[in-house]
Amino acid sequence: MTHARLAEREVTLLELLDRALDKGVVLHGDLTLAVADVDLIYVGLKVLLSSVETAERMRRPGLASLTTGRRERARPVTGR
Amino acid sequence: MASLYVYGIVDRTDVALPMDGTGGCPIVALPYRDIAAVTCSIEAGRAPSASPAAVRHHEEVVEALMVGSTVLPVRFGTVVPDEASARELLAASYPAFVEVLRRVRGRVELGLRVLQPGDAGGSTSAGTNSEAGSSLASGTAYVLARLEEERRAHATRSRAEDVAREIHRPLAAIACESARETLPTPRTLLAAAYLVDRGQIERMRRAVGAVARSFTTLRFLLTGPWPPYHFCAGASNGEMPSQGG
Repeated sequence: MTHARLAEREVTLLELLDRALDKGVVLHGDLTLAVADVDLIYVGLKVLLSSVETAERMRRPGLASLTTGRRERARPVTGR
Repeated sequence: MASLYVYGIVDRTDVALPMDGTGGCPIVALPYRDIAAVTCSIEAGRAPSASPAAVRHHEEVVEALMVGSTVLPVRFGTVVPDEASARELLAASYPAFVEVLRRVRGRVELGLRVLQPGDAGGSTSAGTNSEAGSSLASGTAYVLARLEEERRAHATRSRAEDVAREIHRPLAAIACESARETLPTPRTLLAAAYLVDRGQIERMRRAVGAVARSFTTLRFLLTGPWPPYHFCAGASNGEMPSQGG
């Protein structure tokens, strides 16, 4: 894959993670949200932009909490 | 006893997908009246980790559902204990689900991220006001420096808000609904999501291109079409659907 295509794939992945992990319908009731127990796996260190954004968002509520009842993840995102 | 992983809520009572669910089990629709929760069985306590592969698979399922129905994407990692709980959730939120399905029907989400150069706006003030510094007590100088920082930060944010609004306005005019945030990070001037009729996707792309040509120092990233992730807030349990975005 060319460098440009890889970068494009990573940007799309970040946008996807932002949506699938943080947006969408939140169901309440007696259920388990698996994400709370899990480390997020980032692809390389080129995802700096979203790492900063996600880390900042975790420090403060904001647009991300449009869906109320979102449980804070147990630990901050770490790059690997 | 199997739990159920939930992918989305659809406006039909059956689904036929070209893929299996996480863990290889078939994906089935659990109907309630004229909607359904789209699920697959998973071993209790064995929900998938949020790896890129798992999240991509989740998204593939949701996008496949978009082909034949309107779908409200459920957040990744959502697991309900059994069919009865799933039906209970559908029943309890039925009016909200129907309303949000109606609002997103025939529409997709386009995402926009506008990035500014690394040194834009947020540069730190160079310490204290040096003319005043020598003749003031250090405490006062410190306070003055902080006030100056605050003033600059506020001016930066105010400028950013002006630019963000100028970028956003023509795009929001094409969209049915939109959501935006200014400066979610120092480098992201604007992050926005637009709910757009399928037939307006190209128009939106051209409009973003036109705006981008007016702001050559900024970088525009347009992604999508996505399922309507940013426009499902009204369908989350306990919330009444709200107007606009």
